[in-house]
Amino acid sequence: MDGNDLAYRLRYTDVSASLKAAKEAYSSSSANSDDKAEALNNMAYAAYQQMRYDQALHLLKHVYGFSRNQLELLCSDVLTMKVMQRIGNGKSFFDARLRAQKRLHRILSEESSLTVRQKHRLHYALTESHIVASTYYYYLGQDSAARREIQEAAQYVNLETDTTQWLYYHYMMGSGGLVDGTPEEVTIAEFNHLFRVYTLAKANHFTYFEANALQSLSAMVADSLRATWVKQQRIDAYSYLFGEHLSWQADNTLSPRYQFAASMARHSVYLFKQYHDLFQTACALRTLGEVYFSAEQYDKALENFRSALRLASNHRRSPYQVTPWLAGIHENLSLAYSALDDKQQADIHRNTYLDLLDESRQNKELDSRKALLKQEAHSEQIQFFFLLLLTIVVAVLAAIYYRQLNNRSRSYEQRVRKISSSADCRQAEQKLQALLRDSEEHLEESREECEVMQQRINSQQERHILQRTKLSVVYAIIPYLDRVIAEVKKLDEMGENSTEHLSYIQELCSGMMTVNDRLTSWIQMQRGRLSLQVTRFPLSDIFGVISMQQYAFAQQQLILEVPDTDLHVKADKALTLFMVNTLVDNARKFTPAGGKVTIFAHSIDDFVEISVSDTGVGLPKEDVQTLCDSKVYDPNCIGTKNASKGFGFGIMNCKGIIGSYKKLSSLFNVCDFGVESEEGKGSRFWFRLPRVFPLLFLLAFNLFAQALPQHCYELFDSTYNANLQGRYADAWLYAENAINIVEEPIDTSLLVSLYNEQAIAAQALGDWEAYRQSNAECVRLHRLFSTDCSLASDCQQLEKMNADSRVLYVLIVLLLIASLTLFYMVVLRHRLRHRASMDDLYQRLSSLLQTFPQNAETYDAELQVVAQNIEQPGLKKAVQEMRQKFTPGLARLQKISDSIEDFEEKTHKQRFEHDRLYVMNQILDNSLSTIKHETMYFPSRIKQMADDMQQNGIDVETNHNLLDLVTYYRHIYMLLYEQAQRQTDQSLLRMQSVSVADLFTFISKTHEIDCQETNLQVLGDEMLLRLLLGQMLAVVSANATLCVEEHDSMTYIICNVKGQKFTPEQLSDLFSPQTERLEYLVMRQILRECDAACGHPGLRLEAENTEQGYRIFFSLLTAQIPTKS
Amino acid sequence: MEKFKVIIVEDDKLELKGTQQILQSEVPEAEIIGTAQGEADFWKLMREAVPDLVLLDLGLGGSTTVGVDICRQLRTRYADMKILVFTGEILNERLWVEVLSAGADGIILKTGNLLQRDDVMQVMHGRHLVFNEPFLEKVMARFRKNVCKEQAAVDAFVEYEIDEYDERFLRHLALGYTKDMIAGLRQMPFSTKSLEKRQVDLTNRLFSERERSGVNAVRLVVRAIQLHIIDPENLVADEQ
Repeated sequence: MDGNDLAYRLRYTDVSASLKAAKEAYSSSSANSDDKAEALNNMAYAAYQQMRYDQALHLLKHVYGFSRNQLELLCSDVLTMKVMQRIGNGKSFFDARLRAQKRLHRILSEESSLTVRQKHRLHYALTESHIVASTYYYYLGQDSAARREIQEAAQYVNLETDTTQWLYYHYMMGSGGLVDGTPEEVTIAEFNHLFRVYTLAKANHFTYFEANALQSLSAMVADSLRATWVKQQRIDAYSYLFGEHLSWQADNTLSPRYQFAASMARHSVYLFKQYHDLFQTACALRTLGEVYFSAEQYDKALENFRSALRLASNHRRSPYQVTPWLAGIHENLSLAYSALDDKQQADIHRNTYLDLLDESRQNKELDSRKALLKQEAHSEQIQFFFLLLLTIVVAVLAAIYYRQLNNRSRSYEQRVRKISSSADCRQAEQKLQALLRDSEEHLEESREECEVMQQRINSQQERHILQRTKLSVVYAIIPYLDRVIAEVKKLDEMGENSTEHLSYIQELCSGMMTVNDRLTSWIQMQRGRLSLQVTRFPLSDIFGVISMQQYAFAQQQLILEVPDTDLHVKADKALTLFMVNTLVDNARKFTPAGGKVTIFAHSIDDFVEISVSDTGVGLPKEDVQTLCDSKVYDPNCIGTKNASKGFGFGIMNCKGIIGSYKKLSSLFNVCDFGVESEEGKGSRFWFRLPRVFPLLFLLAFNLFAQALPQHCYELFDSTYNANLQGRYADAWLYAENAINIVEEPIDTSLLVSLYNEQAIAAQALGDWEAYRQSNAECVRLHRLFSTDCSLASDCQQLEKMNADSRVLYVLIVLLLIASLTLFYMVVLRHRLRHRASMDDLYQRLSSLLQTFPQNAETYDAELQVVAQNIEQPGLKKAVQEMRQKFTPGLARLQKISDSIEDFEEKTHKQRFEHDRLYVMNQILDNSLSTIKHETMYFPSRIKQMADDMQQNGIDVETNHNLLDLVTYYRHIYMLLYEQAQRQTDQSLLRMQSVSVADLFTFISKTHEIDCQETNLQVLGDEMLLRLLLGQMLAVVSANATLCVEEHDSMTYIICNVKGQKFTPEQLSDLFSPQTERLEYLVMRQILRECDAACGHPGLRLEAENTEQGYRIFFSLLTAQIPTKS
Repeated sequence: MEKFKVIIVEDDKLELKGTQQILQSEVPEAEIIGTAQGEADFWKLMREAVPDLVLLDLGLGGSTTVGVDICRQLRTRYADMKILVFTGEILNERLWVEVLSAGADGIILKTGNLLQRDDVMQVMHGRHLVFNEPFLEKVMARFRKNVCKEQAAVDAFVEYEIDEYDERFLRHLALGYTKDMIAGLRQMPFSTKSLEKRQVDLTNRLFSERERSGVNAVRLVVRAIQLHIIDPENLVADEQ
């Protein structure tokens, strides 16, 4: 066992043995170790028990001298308390206690890091300190304080971990004064404590406590009343003790109870002697004496008291006296002598007792406080002197500072006054000018872009109207077809009398063929213009747009999965988006809740296959066949039998788009469209587009050229992604670009990340030199970056550790600050405030100027606030000047940026509209050409059959065949028409009031024409009305004039043409599909659109011959509220 | 039946021919006193003789809707004249409504069996709202849809156990009433707190367990509209 542990264990068994063990531990421990400190503490404890208090204090001083172990120092503190309590030195006791408490606080805050042994030691110190404090208060008679302390100790004692402290606690509880209750209860409680201590101590050979318990029990038994209570309530324990001690050095002169008490006391004396505790031996002797005294055997009592005094006298030579103890003995002696009638001796002892008592007055605490105060007063005197000196120094410094301050504040004021002519201001002005120039350029660009966009929209809209017109021509066949069907049915009924009907059918067929011919020529006419807007673009653009639908999918409890892709394709972007969108919409429609729709792309050879797969209802085999093979089918019949149908329209469009790619160029030969589907399991729709590779170097070059910091993050993302995808060379290049752009102080963390990514890339590429460079840079910056962060916390740590020693300094500094504050309040404040406000003003102004272009938006408002807070008129003027210098420029800037914003927003909207129109047009193109291809030959076939019937007569079978053919034709035709019609569901018109004069002005720019002056306004879409006029003028020859008339809130725009006239045939067919020129039909279509949009049916469009020639006119609603624009 | 005079207004020559044939063969009582291919022609004919029946196409020349205007003018001038619209606008339902309110006696669509004797004779016998089969089919489709919608409302009331208070509560929520305001209605004997409970309860009834999270008052009302529990076209507040 460790020497220290042994010493600790033996400390209450045999003090000499404990000392020996401690000494051994001391000599075997290394210098200045914790063990040594503990050994010294144990030695000091032994010295304390042996009343060698000087020795004990000496040893403790030694511990304080070298140990930094807070736990051992705490034990030393506690022991010091114990010694000081014993020798009655209150001040030192409190000093030690204060120290102990501070240390305890610190140790407890780190309790969790202690080892088990350290925890034991801590608990020892804790209990010991409370018990000692309790003892201290107990001897001072402050029972409540004593009880409080012992209760504190009660929390920590534990029989298992530290028996001795447990014994100590219970001994303290049993030795009197610490238990609440009636005297009887108190006695029994105390007896129980003591009995417990006795039995346990005896069993474990803790001589010290055995003796102590016996001593206290003896005193208890000696008291007849208390002995009776104990005997009544604890007869068992009492008898046990009685039986054990009655025969022990029995003194037959006494009654059994006293005999019992005396034998216990004597046993106690014996044990203490064995234990070598001088102090307690004397105490036990006193108890024995007191027993005899109670038994009225005074001589024997005196004898014992004198033995005690002898022991105490031996100790008198020591520099530390245990005054109360001596005083007690003297009191006993005095009593004993007086009992024996030795008055002289009694008085001597009495006086000694009183003297000693005086020495150990009760208010030791106050004593110690007084001493403390005295000492503090002394040090305060020194501090005062020191402060006086300091104050003078400060005063002198303050005076110097004051002068400087005055000068500086004057110069600051000057600076503010002259700010509007400062370099900062000039620079800011230049910046503003530059900014204005840039903004104007930007504005011009935006405006141009907007105009370009508008033109593109216009051309798309024109195209769209043309297509709607063609569609109306397509539609014009349907009434003919219906007539044919009706006539064929009649043929059946009429039988022989059918020549008339047959010839009518033939006429109708010719009519249809004429319309078809017209349509074909118009469609072919446009073909040259049919073009797809093919660009190269990353598929991720499209996928990004699609993935925005995630929320809509989530609403239907569907999962939309769009994995990232870095593939690039060459195709029409708007159409590709349309296709993916169509397929995704289909997938969403036909996938039940809980399903999943996935969009992904993968490259095969030189094309990219884009797939939309779902876990939906799927398609039956025959439908897949239909979708893949036939060009025309009924979209409403596609889909599973019981589930909703209507797969087909979108897919027909997608196929059409793929078809037009193929027609465009051989590059698009790889394009294809396909479906894989299994009923009930889901479908996969896919299409293929040619693959291209991104223009990496061009991109990098662009980035270099622009060198804009916001691109850094994008570049970083690219780098990261490139690394992730294994494109290390790209990653290295991206990172290099980004590093060149980033400025170090602005974003260290980004740089670290970039270097890191670059290093990763270089490593992967096997370029060790590059790797070393990047990595070294990464590590260097990382250190730089992370030191900054840890420094503060380190400082805090240091500060915390030094806090204690700084208290004094802080105090002085606080005093100084207080005096300075006073000085500041009385004298300096105004000056300082003035200077600060000047400085602040200047700083604000100059920072406003320096950060100028960034804060342009708030610049004026901020200056106004500044100006409002200034009182001096001179300064105010300076600020106002500075403000005025920029006001007009800023206002202009604001206006420009507002316009730019407007334009950009408008352009954005236009782009959206353009794309929508473009897609619609593209699809209409496809639909129209499908109609043309699929249905063109029907009329001639019908006519053929009718011709045959006319020649060969009518039989039922041919008649049925004809009916079937016509019905089928109508079905297909209607189907295709409806599919195309879907694209024109939305009205494109923006109805507004349009000035007729403006229309005329516009049209006279491109056509030489006389226009009537007018201030009429009409309701319509300006762009379409322009187109309408354009179409009108395109068909008329020269010598035309435009006039306006108004009847019944309708405005008629009339185009008079001189010289020519229409033939009656021309006139009747002018606006019909048989017409010679498409323009008439376009006009008709525009008017029809206007009619539908203004909700007033009956707009006219007519042509008629006049006396000098002819006129074409149309009517529009007159705008109710003429606006000035 | 006695003979009656007819003017046919039709801008397409081929179609005009067909229509004439139909009238001649099926309605021998009809005496065609004139045909017009345009508005001006028509009014010229009208000045010469006033017919008993005008067979009117809606689109003439460049205008696709001028027939509506002609019909309106005819009706104001000749209250007793029969006007039968014979049009190829087989998809433009809005135009049908317009021409009926302009005073047409009937609409015959140029599809299916086209014009039949019955149609003409019914008009001549003073019947209004004479339509041919394709037209009636379209009307029936709309009518059926409406009836189904009403049935759906009844079904929803049963299926989701909607009582009159639920309906009233949802209707007033849709009108933007707060729960406090609804609690203040005369016919709502509930406290605000119990209305809150009702809302939770309704949410649980109208939404499946998976859909329930995050359903607010707006979503609840929209759901009620989708299920036809409340009719968005008929949102009226109760008396206070």
